[in-house]
Amino acid sequence: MQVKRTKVVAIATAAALAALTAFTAVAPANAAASKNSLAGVNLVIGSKDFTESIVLSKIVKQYVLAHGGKVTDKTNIKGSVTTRDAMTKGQISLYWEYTGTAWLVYQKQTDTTLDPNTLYKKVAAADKANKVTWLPMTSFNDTYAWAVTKAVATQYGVKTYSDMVTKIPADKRVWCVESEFASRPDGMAGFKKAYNVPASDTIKTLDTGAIYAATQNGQCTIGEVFATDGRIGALGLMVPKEDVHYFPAYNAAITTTDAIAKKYPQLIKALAPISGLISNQTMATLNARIDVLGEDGDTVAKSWLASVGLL
Amino acid sequence: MSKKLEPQLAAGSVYSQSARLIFKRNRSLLIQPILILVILALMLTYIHNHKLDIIEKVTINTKFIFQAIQDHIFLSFSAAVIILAIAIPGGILFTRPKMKRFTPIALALANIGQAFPAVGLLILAGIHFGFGKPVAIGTFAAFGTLPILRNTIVGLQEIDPFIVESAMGMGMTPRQALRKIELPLAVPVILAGVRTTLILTVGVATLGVFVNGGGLGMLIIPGLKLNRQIVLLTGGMLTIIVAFTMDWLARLAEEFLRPRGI
Repeated sequence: MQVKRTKVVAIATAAALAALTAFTAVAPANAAASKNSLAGVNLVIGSKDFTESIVLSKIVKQYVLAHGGKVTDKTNIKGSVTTRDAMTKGQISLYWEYTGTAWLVYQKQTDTTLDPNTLYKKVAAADKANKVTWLPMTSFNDTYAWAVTKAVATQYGVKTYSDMVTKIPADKRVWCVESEFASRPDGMAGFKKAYNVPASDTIKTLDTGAIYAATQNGQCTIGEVFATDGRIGALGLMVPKEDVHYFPAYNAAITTTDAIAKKYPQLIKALAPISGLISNQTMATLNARIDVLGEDGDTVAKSWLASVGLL
Repeated sequence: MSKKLEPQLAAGSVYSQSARLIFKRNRSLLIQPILILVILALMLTYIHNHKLDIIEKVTINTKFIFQAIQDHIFLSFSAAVIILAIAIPGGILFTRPKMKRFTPIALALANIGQAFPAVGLLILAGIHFGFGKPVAIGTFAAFGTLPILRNTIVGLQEIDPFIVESAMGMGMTPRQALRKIELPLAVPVILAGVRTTLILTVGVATLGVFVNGGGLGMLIIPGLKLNRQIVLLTGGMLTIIVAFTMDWLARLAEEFLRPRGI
């Protein structure tokens, strides 16, 4: 019986996939018509030094290449500030930035209670003074999140962030955070206030990457992670629900200089719809294909573009 | 009267020197603390003239900074002590005739320790043994053992073998020759290694922040990531100050311990 049901599900999935493919197959017809729509576009594409930033830029790279443009790949630049400087100085044409980062880091604002849309509007408006153009933002929000192992979640019945504080016993609550998060007002300090975390809880400061493994092997009960990281699923972790709004929004958007936007209006128009297609789930899957399965960024970008009918 | 006493004191033991004589001969020993104070003054003026925003205030406050400095000194000093405890006896051991053939192996091991990317080693060790200060200190020690092990070995190897031979010829046992002839002669090279180690560990200890070790990395990393120059610079300058101070203390030790007249 069990086997049979699995089979039925498999067949149904296959059918659905086939239908989807058939449906999306209409889209490439459009794209194919404009095969050389980006001819004459010549870009230097940058990115920050982590998987998500790189794969997002690779998507733009593969898209532009597929439509007749030219691309120099300068992805994987160390540090947000360096990447931003490279763009404003014209060494790279565009890269993906996060609304929260631009707001807090470049524009040096401190209010983190804004909802994603308001934040995006404010950030884009403020950046006009810096001659930076913001394309539409993604629907995914790569904000800070807390992760616990599925075992911990089941053992204590943790479904929300509040549950982490009220249901996990005090001596088991070991929070692991990154140094940046530990030292910003909208990081650990604010979270403790918003969720009434007792001052006596253990807080460890670790490297961002180490937190995932340390949460999985039990050195940390609650780890600070990024919402769209592929390792959350791969290491058997889960993110409880944020029941009291606290974390700032980190939606990504392509940023470019006004000069590039003016020079290539057809490019801006073509790239604009891409961000709307990337949900939290999609982003986590793309990240996992690179971080967990070890696939190459260009390959992942190409296959995703093909799957949504943009190649 | 004191004028007459000084040279006598100096001659009394090969290790003891009057402080006045040392400072007189070595002016740079006085310049270094002055430089440290100048950097400190510059830093304090800079912080004082800067209006801190709420992000900067989280790190730029006396409580946070003193904790960071305290952790930093603890991390780097403990690592340095472990390194010295391993590398100096190790260096002596590997220059004894019976052990000489193992010297390349020991150096190779120490080389591996230093060639390992420090952050990678730290995090791997942390995941394996548990995050915290002990893992940080252990990793820093593994990272800093090489220079001083090599210095000790080289310092002892470079002694003219005829000197040791003549010491034996005078009836000294190998142990006496080591204590009275070889070690005093190797002291300058060994102490140079000690200073290198201290500076190195103070620098590497900024990575303690990655494994729950604390230290001045608690200022440097957030300063970098949040683009708050003042936080980054304060962390960086304090690291320099700690390194300079440790180096100065080591130089003093070097001056006082260096044998005279051999």
